[in-house]
Amino acid sequence: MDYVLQTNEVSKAFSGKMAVDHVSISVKNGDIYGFIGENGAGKTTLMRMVCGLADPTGGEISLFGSRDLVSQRYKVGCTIENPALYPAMTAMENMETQRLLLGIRDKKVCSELLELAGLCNTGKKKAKDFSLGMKQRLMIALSLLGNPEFLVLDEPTNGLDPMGIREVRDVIQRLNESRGITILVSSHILGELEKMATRYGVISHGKLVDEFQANELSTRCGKNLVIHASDPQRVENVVNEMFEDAECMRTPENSVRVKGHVEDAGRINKILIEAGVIVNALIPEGDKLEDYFLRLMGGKVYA
Amino acid sequence: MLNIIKSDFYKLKKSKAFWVCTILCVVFAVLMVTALNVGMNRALANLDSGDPEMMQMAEMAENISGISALQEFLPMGFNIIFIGVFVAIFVSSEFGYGTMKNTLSRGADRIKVFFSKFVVCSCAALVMLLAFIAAMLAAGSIAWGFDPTGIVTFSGMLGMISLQSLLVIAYTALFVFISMTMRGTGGAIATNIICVTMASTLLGAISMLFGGSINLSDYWLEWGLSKFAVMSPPSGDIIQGILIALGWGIASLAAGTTLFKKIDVK
Repeated sequence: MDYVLQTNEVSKAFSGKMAVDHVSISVKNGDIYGFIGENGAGKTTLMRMVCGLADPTGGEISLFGSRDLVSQRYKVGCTIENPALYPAMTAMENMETQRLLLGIRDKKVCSELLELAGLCNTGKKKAKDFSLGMKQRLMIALSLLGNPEFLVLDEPTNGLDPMGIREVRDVIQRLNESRGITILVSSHILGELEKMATRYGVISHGKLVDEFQANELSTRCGKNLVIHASDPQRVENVVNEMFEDAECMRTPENSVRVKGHVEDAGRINKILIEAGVIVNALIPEGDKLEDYFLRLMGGKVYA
Repeated sequence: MLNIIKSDFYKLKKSKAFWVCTILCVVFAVLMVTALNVGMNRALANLDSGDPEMMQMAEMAENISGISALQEFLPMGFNIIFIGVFVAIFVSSEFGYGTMKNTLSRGADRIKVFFSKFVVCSCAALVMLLAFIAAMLAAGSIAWGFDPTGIVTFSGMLGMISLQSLLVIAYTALFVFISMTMRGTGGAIATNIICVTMASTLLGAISMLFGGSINLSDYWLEWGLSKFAVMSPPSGDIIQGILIALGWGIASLAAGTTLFKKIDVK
């Protein structure tokens, strides 16, 4: 089976306003699918529809190649928005409610998952006394009950400190690598997504504006070559002579930024030396996911 | 379905609201018996004052027993108020905490989730009813004896408790419907309490507005609470009470499941 999740022209309207507008995404088996969008773009609404918490007003969703979603959802674990826990219960008691719901007989699985989430030593501490990071990790442990093949995580790093973000990221990567779980994860912290996602979907104002593999990011993001040299004017002249399409601009540090031609760095270096220019550094420079996202949203990357 | 019920029973066991409301049922029953006993003793001590209220109390004191106190207090529906508060907290908190998402996202059928809540809340409500009855009978028996006049029969007692249980289950169905629909604890508690304390008066007032030829409050659950608080009610009352309980119960479950199937869970 190639695709774990496919949405075909899925829409959701609230009071006539389209929150999700004909979105078609495909999450392949083994992917960590980074779902990106500004606040109110429709990420959570789409995830809620995937998890059966809201009905689409149009389009179709298929899970594991089947449109019988109810029967397939036992293979899906999810955390949507804030951690949903019983505050007066301990971590183990919260796990027990879900274990009984899923009809899992082996009681040991709860302690194993708590250990995986780094929560095995919480004892009688109630969930209401947990830090946000602990709550997020408990939610991930809860969603792992029943050995799901697909995890839907809506902003699992929201509100966490850098340490908490790293802990959650490590758990997600471990689950993907060691257990082969496919993950659909949304986050505002694009730098974090960039560190783990293998595929991206970008949604804006309810519409999917781009979907691509992680290795396609470099082709989507602009790549430049920054040349630090003794004579910037000479550098510009040499580069303009070398390439008809050359676009050079001066940086505030008086270096030369050449649009594209990263792959020509060696040749540029050789010709500059032959032209008597002292080259101090040739640095490939590219947009990060955040820059690309901002560009897609119409924001400016370089001020 | 069985797994959902098992999970809900586990939550019930861990629910503070359930234990607190059950204890309150017991405390309230004992308090009422104690208050009545104190009032009667005061009335007996002041028989010479000629106060009609005191005279009435003193008259009552001659025939009072554990069982008659129960028959006096059951129709007031204090235990139903506690059941309404418990159901509102138990059901609405699932939406407040967001834990309903954990249930539904794993493919649980919404109708089964609704019925599971109804089954578990009904069991809890019956425990609370039995605790109220047991506490009142125990306190009343200590104060005045269980049944000095010998009116109680086993079948009569069983019938009374069964009919009261039926009404409590119908009330529970209504409370679950309200709580699942409102999804906010405060609003659900308020509405459930209003259902117990004011619905009969409201229905009576509406009947008056339409000429008073039919008294709508005769078709409300509270009607049965008083009619079924006797050892052997007339068969006509039994049939009407059962029909009222079934009608409200089934209507609440049907409306609740239909609405719950359609709502978006946040």
